[in-house]
Amino acid sequence: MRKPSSPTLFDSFLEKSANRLLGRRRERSLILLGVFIFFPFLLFLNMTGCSKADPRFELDELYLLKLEKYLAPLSPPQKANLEAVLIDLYGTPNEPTLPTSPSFDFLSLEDLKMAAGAVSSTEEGHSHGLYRQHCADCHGLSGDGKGPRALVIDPYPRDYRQGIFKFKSTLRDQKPTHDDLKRIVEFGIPGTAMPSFRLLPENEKDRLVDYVIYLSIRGETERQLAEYIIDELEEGELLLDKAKGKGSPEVLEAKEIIDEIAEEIALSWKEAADYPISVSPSPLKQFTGEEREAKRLEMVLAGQTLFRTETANCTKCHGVMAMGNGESQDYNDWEKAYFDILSPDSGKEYLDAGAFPPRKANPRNLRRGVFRGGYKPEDIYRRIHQGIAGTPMPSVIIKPENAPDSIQGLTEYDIWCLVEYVRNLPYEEESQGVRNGPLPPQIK
Amino acid sequence: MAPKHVSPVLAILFLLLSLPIVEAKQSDLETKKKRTPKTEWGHLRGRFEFSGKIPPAKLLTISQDKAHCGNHTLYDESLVVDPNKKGISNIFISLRLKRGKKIASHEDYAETLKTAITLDNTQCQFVPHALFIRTGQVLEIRNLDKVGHNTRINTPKNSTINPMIPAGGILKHQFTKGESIPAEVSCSVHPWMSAWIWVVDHPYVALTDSQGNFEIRNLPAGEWTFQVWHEKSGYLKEVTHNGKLTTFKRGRFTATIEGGKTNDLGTLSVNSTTFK
Repeated sequence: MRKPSSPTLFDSFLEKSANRLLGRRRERSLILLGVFIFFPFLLFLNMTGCSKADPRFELDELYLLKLEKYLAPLSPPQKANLEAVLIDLYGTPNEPTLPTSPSFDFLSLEDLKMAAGAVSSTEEGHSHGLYRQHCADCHGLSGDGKGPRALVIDPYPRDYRQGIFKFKSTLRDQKPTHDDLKRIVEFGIPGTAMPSFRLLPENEKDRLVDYVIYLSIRGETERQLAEYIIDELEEGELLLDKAKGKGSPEVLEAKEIIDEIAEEIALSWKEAADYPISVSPSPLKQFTGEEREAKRLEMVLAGQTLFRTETANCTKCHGVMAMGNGESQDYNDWEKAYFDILSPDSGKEYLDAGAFPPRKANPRNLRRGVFRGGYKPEDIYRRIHQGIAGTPMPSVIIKPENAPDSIQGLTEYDIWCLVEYVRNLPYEEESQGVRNGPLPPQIK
Repeated sequence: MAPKHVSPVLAILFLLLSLPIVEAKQSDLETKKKRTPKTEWGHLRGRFEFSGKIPPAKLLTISQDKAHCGNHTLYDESLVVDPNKKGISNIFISLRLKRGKKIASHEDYAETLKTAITLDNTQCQFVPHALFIRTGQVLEIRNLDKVGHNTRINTPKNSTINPMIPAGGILKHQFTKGESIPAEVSCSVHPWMSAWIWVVDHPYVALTDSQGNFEIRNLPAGEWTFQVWHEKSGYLKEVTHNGKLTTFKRGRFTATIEGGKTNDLGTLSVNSTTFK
């Protein structure tokens, strides 16, 4: 059919299609005319946004790949069904929704709607799309920590979907409180790319925090539902098969289980504040003036001794000189899920599927005086007491003040000594070069 | 499969048994037992055998704390096969119950629930390398070394823990939720250290010994589903049983437990390619 004289490939393609469509050459010009009118119209539609698909929360393909590798795969219909169930529960990036259960009542859907969607503003102080304006570049539309800028940031932005957060006033295995996250939005995280959003109006900061919690709950629900599908359903069985009828016992039972899983996750956020780390008052508080300074120096020295013992075990990672150059090597939990520190070739399939190249957990150089979780003595006390969730920084065994020597652990007083030692480190003589200049060679 | 034959009365019996038994209650139980048909209990036994070329034992590289840990010769325990009889160690076999389902627990298990399970950090290795524990049972993580360790247990349903265990220290921990697979135990100070722990909310779980043998004692008679897992394979999906290649979909098989006897599955042979 194709004529050698055809001016362009496009023409010949149209001609071919038209011929196939009608099989009559004389109608050809009519079809061509139709196509030339129709295409610009399509282009116009595209520009006005009518045919553009709404953004969606993509499934956590890396985690699904891991489940597939170790347990069993989710079939494509099961994945599509899981996505539909998640939309039923939480809506879309443009239209968030919340389950009606009281477990979710600590979040306001109105606030989430202000934080979600495209960036726009109808009047001063009334901004929509806050998350996309301030957070999504790094943390990604779904909170996967893989926004367009994420790859070049060190440390990588947090992936919220595991529900693990580092800097909080609650116990290691608990969620942070709203105020904990708000503090991070407010002050940023020193030593990282997380900036301070202090200049935003109060209500916008609150909305962002709630939206981050919403994304985290959504992500955690997704993981648990995927695990449930693999654990509990027959191979290929859909999580919620609406074809079985809206009121059918199968659908009702599935809904009950889905709600149960989602509510439990929401509740862990709602009740987070019930699990605070109890911080004993600093022993320094009983002193003033010179007495206080003498006591502080005594605690600094005691802290230094403790820091280097096998009881506190700080030097393993932070090094004898607390410069973050100890021997340990490990990944944080977010990397550890996919990579094995001992085999550099591990996790290649995850890299191919879009995982970021793993970076080793980086024990802090404490002489630099940059404390990501906060500078207050109480902040550092919490970091030592509970460790840092998601990282190799461990929690400690608390030893009662008058326990016999045979019991191993740290007393609350011991922790305070470590706090004073750590706070004093940046001001030591040896730290002066460290604070501003390049790192000196490893001191052992 | 729902254990339909577990009558409500038995469920009550089970509840009573799990309480500290005082004399008055015991006599209550006695009368109840007389009125209801006795549950029959049976054991399940089997043996996992390696087929193919046994990979040579791999020495671990001691990169940290050489002064202490370097004194010990440590081997990679991720796949341990007996060179003579080819038994595979550390395969987990656990009863699998659907979400929310319960099973009658034999009275012998009330006592074992009170016994602590130990996980030792010793000679810069976790001992044992594989273990299981019931919800509510106490796990004692001990550090018998002269160096500090931390013990990270990455349980997805129970929150991950990562306590520092000082030299000579002991930490007691309890899990509240049953896990669907074993969880990895690691130490960030000594990256070669590795162990696996399965937290289960029933007592019917076993690990193969150095000869590949396992036994789950005192299961209620009936048909039950079991799940098989090994750290190198995840769910163990393929075995040769009685000369026939058998697929364990998602690591599962069902077995009928006859009361009053030991139900022996015989030898289950696993091809070397399973443990890649």
